[in-house]
Parts: sequence; C-alpha cells; structure tokens
Amino acid sequence: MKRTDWSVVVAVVVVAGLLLAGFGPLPFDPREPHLEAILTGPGATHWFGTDRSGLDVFSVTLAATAEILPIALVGTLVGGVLGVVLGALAASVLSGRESGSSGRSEWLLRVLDMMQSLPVAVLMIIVVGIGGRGTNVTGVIAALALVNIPLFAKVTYAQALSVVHEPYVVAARGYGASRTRIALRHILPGVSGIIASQFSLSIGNAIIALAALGFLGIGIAPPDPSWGELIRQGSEEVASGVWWLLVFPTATICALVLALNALARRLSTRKGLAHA
Amino acid sequence: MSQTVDRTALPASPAQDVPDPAPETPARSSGVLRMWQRLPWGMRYFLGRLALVPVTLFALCTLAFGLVNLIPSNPAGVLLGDFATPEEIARVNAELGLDQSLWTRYVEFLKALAGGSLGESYFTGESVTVALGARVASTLELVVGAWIVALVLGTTLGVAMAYWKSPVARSSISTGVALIQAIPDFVLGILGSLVFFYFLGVLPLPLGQLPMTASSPPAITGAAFLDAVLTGDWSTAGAAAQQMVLPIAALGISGSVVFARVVYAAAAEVFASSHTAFARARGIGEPTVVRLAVRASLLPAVAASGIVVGSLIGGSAVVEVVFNWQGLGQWGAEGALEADIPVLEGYIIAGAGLALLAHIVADMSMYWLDPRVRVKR
Repeated sequence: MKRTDWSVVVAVVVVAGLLLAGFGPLPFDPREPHLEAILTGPGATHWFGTDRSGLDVFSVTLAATAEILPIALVGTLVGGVLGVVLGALAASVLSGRESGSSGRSEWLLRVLDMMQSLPVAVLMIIVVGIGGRGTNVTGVIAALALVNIPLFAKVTYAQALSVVHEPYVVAARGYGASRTRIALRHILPGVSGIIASQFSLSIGNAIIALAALGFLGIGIAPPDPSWGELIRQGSEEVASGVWWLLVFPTATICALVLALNALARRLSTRKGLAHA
Repeated sequence: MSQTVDRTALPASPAQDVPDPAPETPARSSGVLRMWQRLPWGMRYFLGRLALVPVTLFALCTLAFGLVNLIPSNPAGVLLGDFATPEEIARVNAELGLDQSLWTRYVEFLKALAGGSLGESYFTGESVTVALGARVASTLELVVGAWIVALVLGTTLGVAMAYWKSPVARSSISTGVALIQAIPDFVLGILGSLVFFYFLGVLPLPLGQLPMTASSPPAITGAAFLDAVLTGDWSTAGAAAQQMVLPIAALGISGSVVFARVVYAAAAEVFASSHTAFARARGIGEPTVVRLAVRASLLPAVAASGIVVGSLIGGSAVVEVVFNWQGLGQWGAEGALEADIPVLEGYIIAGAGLALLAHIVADMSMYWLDPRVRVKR
C-alpha cells in the first residue's frame, strides 16, 4: 500500500494554482498605474495594496509568476538537456563502452569544475546585467543554462556510472541489446529520478535568482511585472513601514520554492536514493 | 660519530631502497627529491595543489576575459547616453580599444596582467586593482561573519534535528530549514530591517557601514569595523557592529541550510552508532554525548565550508546593494549594469579567486582536523 504524500499534492496544487492564476483574469492590469491610489495599504479594492507608481500589487505578483515560471522552466530545461547529454557522454553511456570513465571524460569533468568555480550569483549578474537595465530574456535563459549545465552533467555522470555496472545492464549487453536500447531502456530509467529531482530543485533556485536579478533591475524588469521590482521599492520604503510590498511577493516566492523543493525531495527518495 | 663513515659506505649498500642517483645528477636536486619523498602524503598533495594555483588563476583570468568579452555589450552606448550618434560611439569604441579583434584585446589583457594591472574602470577611471584592494576587506567582513553565523546556526539545527526523536520537534526544525531555503537571502535582510528598524526600533537605519553621524576611522583596510578595531576606536567599532548585524544575519541564516543538512546526516549516524550506545551504557551524561556528536559532525561541515563561502561571496552582491555596503559585490553589480568591462573582469577574478582560496583552506583544515585524511594511502 502506498501512502499518499500530501506534500507533493500540495506542491503540485500550489505551482499549478499560481501559474493558472497568473494567466487567468486579474482584478487589475499589472502594467496600468492607478495614480489616485499610490502606496495604499491592502484593502477591499487593492487586496495586496499598491506600489509607488500605483500598480496593483496582487495583479503584479501573480502576473510576475506567469512571466517568470516559463522562463525559469525554459532556461533550466536548456541547461538540463545539455548537461544530461554531457554527463552521459562523460560516463560513456552513449558510446556504449564497458569501462566507465576515460581520460577524455576526466578532462570534461575538470572543465565543468572550472565552470562551477565561479559563484553562481556572480555569473548570473554578469551574463544578464551586461546588457544593461530592462528585461533580457535571452540573457536570463543563457545564464540559467550556463549555471545548470555543470550541475546536471555531474549528477548524470555520477548516477550513470553507478547504473552502468548493474547486473541488468551487463545482462542486456550480454544478450546483444543495441547501444541505443541499453541507453534508453535500461540506463535512462535508472537516472531519470535524480535528474527529475535536480530539475525541480533547479527551477526553485532559478526563481530565487530571478527575484534577486529583478531587485537589481535586470532579468525581468519594469514595465514587465516583476517581484524583484516590488521588493526593491519595499526596501526603499522600509523607513515608512510599507510592509505589503515585501510580504506578498516574498510569500509567493516562498510558496513556489517550498513546493518545488518538496517535489525534488520526493522525486529523489522515490528511487530509493538517500534523503538529501 | 660513525655516521660519516656509514654515509660513504651507503651507495654500495644493497639495503638502500632509494635508487642511486646517476653520477652526473647534481647532488642538490637529488636532495630536494629525497626531501619531497620524505614528506607525508597529505603534505605532498597540498604542495601539489598550491603549485597548481597559478595555473588555475591563469585559467580563471582567461575565463573572466572570455565571459565578459564574448557577451555582446555596448559600454560606449552607456557612456554616451541615449542620444549618441554612431560616429561618437565608434570614436569611443576606438578609444577604449573595443574596435580591435578579440585576440588583440586578449593579448593586451594578458600584457597588462603580466604588469599586475587589470585596467581602469571606463566610468570612474579608477584602477581596478586599487578598487579591489579598497573593497575586498568590506566583503570579507560580511562573508567571514556570515560563515561563522551559518556554521553555528547550521550545526545547532542539524544536531538538534538528529538528537530529538520526537516527530513534532524534528519536522518543525526541518520545516524551518526548508523555509529558510525558500526565502532569498537579500529578502531576509530587508524583512529584518523592516522588523528590527521600523517596528521594533532596536537597530539603526541599516544603510552603509557606518551611521550618518559617525566619523569614519582612518582607512587601513577599507572596512569600517576592522579599521575602527585596528585603531582602537571602540565607540565607532560599536556603531559599525550594529550596522553589520542585519547583512551578516541575512547571509548567515541563508548559508546555514547547507550546514544543517550535512551536520544532520553526520550527527544522525553518530547518534545511531554503537560507540554512542556504549557511551550511554557506561553512564556518560547526555551533554557529553551531544558534545562528542557535535565534534564528529563538524568535519563534514568544515568540508562543506568551501562551497558555502563560494555561495556567500555570490550572495553578498545583492545583500551589499540592499545595505549600500560598498564592497566588492555592489561594485561588481553596478559595473555589470554599466557594461564596465575591466571592472567585471576584476570582479570575476576576485570573486572566483576568493572562492578558490576558501576551497583550499577548507581542504587544508580537513587535513589538519581529520587524522584519517592524513594517513590515507
């Protein structure tokens, strides 16, 4: 009997709900300022209050989710796919060779180490910010890809190496299964759990990174709806006690990332992997 | 005194395990070689690693150059503003040397590097190396402080999570850790200033390294707190310490997640081990049992410190902007927005260099702390 894991149910509902809400009808246009209501607190009209230019915080927060989640997804996907291919190549899975690593894969791993020696935030600020202020979707996707390639490659490499020597893979090779069949039917299922888990984790990190970039005015920036911009205004209004610009976007980010991390943990334990 | 006699006899001795040096090899080099072989394995490993540092730094400089110069950017456009004509932009690009080929620029970059220079900022004209020197201490102040907070908090959380068997206590701590992980570090800082400055009023306005009213101490390192301590100006040091509380707490709390995870894993193993059962059976008190578990769990925490410090260096960029800290991170973030190529190269080299240093220090401490690492092989 399998016990229902409520954390996963909640996680899926939260992510799907926020995404649908962002694409669905919003009470106000997230780009249209209400000059008669600047920096008003939460109330009946503006549920989460308004910001310095009179934008409805509720609408902006949800619209930002709909704006940011797809970009986080695409960027992570690009990095993830490239990383998985590199990791599989390094583990010699694709060439179907018996011995796991080789001199060439050692080389590849060192290059990945080099890529990772750069602090993630430093890399992202430079790749995204060098184009100047404003929305820069290409930059964000490139940065997310660069950050994720080494992560996915290493996870895939380590996991594939441990699967390649499993008896069922050796047996499949013994009865003459083709390389592609071994890679797709036998090795891929063995590594898919941890890759899915890493994917969920990486999207969560991408969301946090995009909030930070938005705070600096890069990545997704005004006039596009952005959490970071709300938080930036909130930080400048701290001395006047404007809490709603901080609390609501933060709660949204927090809910999304918590949900994605819970999903990641579930995905990694399902395959009998250590609780990380 | 018979040793001198022995030594002359040595080359003929069949019992000697070091092969005889060839007669034409100078005696000195064979001495160095023998000294090298006498060193313990771990020491050789670290000397080897240190020897690799220049190579890594060179690769890092190349990476920094490549990253900053391969991404299309328009510093001349930023310099001249929105109404610049194409001729003006072309002229400024020529002045900055940006009309040269990538290869020529790389050679120029390496030539300057050989002379110990990283160029000057396009906007302020300040030498990048001077700017780095003036700001690095401010960032290190935050990073080291945050590392200590993260280590103490993370170890406490991890050991507590492993120690308390009750599901309520355990799941509430792990929920807390998950929550910390889900809030961006800079947001923690802003929320902290909302609560402690605006609502409770226990901390001063958290902007800058010193309150507006304080006079800055003479610049020795460039970091206000350190300078005040070094000159013995205790009232200024106190004021600076108050300014440091929130940024350090924000970074440290965020960084504690990694430590909480690794310490939990290690402490759970220690509490489940037979030596803990034996200690309890002998009647050793719980405080001692916990103390021993903490000591054993600190090793993986030290090993993870390199990674944590790396992410603290990255995270400090946005936190410094929040608190107007004027350290490396803020300088780099502002440089990125202006496409200030020499500044960005300097920022990457400094940031990644510090992270690299943290990794080496963490590994060396492991060698020093953990006898198992020392005897390996």
